[in-house]
Amino acid sequence: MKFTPSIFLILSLLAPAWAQAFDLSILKNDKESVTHAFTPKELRYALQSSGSTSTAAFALLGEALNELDESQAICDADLYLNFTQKLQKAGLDHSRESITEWLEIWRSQDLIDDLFFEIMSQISNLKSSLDRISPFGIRNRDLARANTAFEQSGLTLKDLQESYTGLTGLDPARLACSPITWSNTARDLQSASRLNDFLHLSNVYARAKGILNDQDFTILEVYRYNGVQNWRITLQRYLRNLRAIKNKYRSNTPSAADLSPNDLSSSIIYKHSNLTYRQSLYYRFNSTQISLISDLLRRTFDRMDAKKAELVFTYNSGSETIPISPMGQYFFARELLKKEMTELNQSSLFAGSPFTYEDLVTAALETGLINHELLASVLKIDDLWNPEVKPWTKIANYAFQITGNASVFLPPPYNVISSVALFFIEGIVARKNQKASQADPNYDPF
Amino acid sequence: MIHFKRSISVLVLLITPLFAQAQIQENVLVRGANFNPEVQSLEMPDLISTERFQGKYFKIVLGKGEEGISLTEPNLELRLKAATAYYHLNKARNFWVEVMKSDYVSELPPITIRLEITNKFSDLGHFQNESIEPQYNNALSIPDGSPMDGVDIPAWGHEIWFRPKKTILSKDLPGSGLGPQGNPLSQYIKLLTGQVQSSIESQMIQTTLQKLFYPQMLSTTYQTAILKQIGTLALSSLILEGSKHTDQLFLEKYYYLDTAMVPEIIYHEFSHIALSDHLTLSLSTPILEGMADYFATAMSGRPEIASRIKLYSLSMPKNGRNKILYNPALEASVYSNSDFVLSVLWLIRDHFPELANHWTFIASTFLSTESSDIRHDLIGSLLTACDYVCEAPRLNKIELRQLLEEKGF
Repeated sequence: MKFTPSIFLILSLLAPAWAQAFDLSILKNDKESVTHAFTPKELRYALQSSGSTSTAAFALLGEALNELDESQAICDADLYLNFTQKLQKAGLDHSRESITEWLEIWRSQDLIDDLFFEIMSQISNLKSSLDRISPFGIRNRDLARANTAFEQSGLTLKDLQESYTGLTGLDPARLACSPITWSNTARDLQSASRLNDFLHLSNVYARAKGILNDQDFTILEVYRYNGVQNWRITLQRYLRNLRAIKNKYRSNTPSAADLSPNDLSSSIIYKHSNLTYRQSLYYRFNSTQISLISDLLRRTFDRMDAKKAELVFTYNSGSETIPISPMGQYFFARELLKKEMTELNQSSLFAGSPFTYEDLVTAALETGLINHELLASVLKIDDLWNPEVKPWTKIANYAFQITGNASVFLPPPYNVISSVALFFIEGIVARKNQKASQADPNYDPF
Repeated sequence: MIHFKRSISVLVLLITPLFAQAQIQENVLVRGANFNPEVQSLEMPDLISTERFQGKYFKIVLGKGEEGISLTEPNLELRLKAATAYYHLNKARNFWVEVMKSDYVSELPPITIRLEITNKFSDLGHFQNESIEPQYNNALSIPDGSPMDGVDIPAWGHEIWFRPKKTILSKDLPGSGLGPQGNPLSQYIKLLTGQVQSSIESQMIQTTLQKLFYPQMLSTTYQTAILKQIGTLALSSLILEGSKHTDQLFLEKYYYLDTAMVPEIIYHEFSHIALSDHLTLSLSTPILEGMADYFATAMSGRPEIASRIKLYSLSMPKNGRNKILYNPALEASVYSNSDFVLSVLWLIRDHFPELANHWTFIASTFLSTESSDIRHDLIGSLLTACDYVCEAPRLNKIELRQLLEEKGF
């Protein structure tokens, strides 16, 4: 009986820690079947040199995330510094190279995804640059150009001071959220001038005017040089999206078996880019936007699966109810999806960053509304307004072009032959593409 | 001793039906290699008579008679027909009981099968008079019933009637047996003449405008040009009209169908009975026939019905892989014998081979003979049935809708 109060005391102390423990499984990759973060050769090398310590390092990453999560504001640099400190304490190598190798191993084991890999790589590269850099000097030529550029930008000194709020008194040992602050400041500053090196000139001007000290100036120049202002994703945004949307519609626990080699998430959008649909989704949209996009498809499914659909016309003297056929319901749901996509894209929430049907499907995959099995069928829904051009149609189009030209340029009576050929091809294509809705003038879609 | 005697008598009682189930072999027409018909000597299952085609589940009679056809029937053609019908009906019953797990079929009382019957059916008097439109070349499943009060006719159970075969000219067939679009030549010429006529009309307008504004550009006289164009128009219209009278080129000259000798038709008729707890046998509709067609093909394992059997069927066979697209005209009872519904159900079978039979069976339970149509009810029932049989209903329903879209819905 004596020890009962002390157990309660221990439990009450531990409870908040349990409640706020970071669930490492949220980082687990169940969306991207293919990685674009490293090559098989790099992975082989990583496994050889860091394979034995990767599990221990991953546990330390979990601890680092757990501690930071309690403070509710996780910034890339905080996590990285905390993680490297823990590695040091545990006697593990905390160099950029080792961390990159662990990231490769974790990604290959689907413990993390390409986005987390990118986040950790970019902060690791930045920290590595900061560790190696010596203080920057200011050249007179740059100072003169900075004065001119600042005058032409129309900014006042007060504007500049405000822009650099949160970027003064920087400490290389505790960068906190300064990279994100720099990213926002850089965006504002870049909008004030067309000069390519305006960010550098702003830093120079701010240093000259005493807004920044030497250390701040050096750190911000390293940020600029490392392209922090172009980071496409930050840890804060990534974790917020994961918590809010990832698998929110899934009832079962995702597993690596869910991954299909033909998935959309890790597909490259353009041939010569490295950007995948999932990366594009995370870079361009926040959790609210992704939820809204995914919900469009959820509503479409609900409409398609509704037991009954009716069209009601209300007149001055009564009303008329017309039942919609199951296929009509399907077409109607698709048309409504198209309409709602347009409306949502026109809303202020998506101003400047419209989403496509592929974004919508990627969002639905992310929220777990659909899985990879459903993907091919869902992508085909888009055929309504983005029909696939079949090889036959391509050949016919080419034949149209030739016979069309021939009917204009050939002398009579040969032009008549080409005209007949043209009509003949048109007829065949019309027949090939004919659907009941087009073939029968009496056809009604409901 | 008393107990012993009782046990013996019970044993004798149990063994007696086994003796009655005679092991008799008969020549039967079956589908052999490549779906070609061949005659094989096969055992007649579940016979309870050693003299007649009378079994536990089916009795084969001639015309309006009530006594089973003799197993030693001297008319060998009739005997082959009786054996074929008996054998395939038992096979169909097994399919419904063992594969489809139909309680309704397993509890059905014995069914009378009538061969060579020409009478029309009357739901009040069982048989109509022979003189009223004698029927040939078809088969009919009839519901059980009882006559009007005061009429001295016994009640009857479910029956299947196989009409005699009769050779007739195809051109005398109602609806010519072709689809709603007419014969293929007519369809093609209609397409071509439409384009030619539109071109000629444009040329006539062009010639007239040239005559009015640039007469020097006309290579021939205006009258000659217009006359030629009108001539072409008239000729194309004539060809189109003529093509509408060429149906016989696309049909066999003669038509006949010996329904009791075509295994798929026997399966089809039994399927009507098997489905009759939901799809009553009150009238012939595209859905009712399509469902029976589907299960007939499911039993044979091939999408064709009445094909490659010229000795017994010279007609337009049905094909589950017909590429025909949906047309509202196909809802009409005139097209009950079209293979459109069969082709819709085979589309499911081709994409979901493991699920198709039960999917279609469950869908049939949501349909009614009198009020169900294809576009609303058949598709609606297939989507609803998917919730019961599909492994991934949302995925499979989307796939089904996409297949149906390709089918012209």
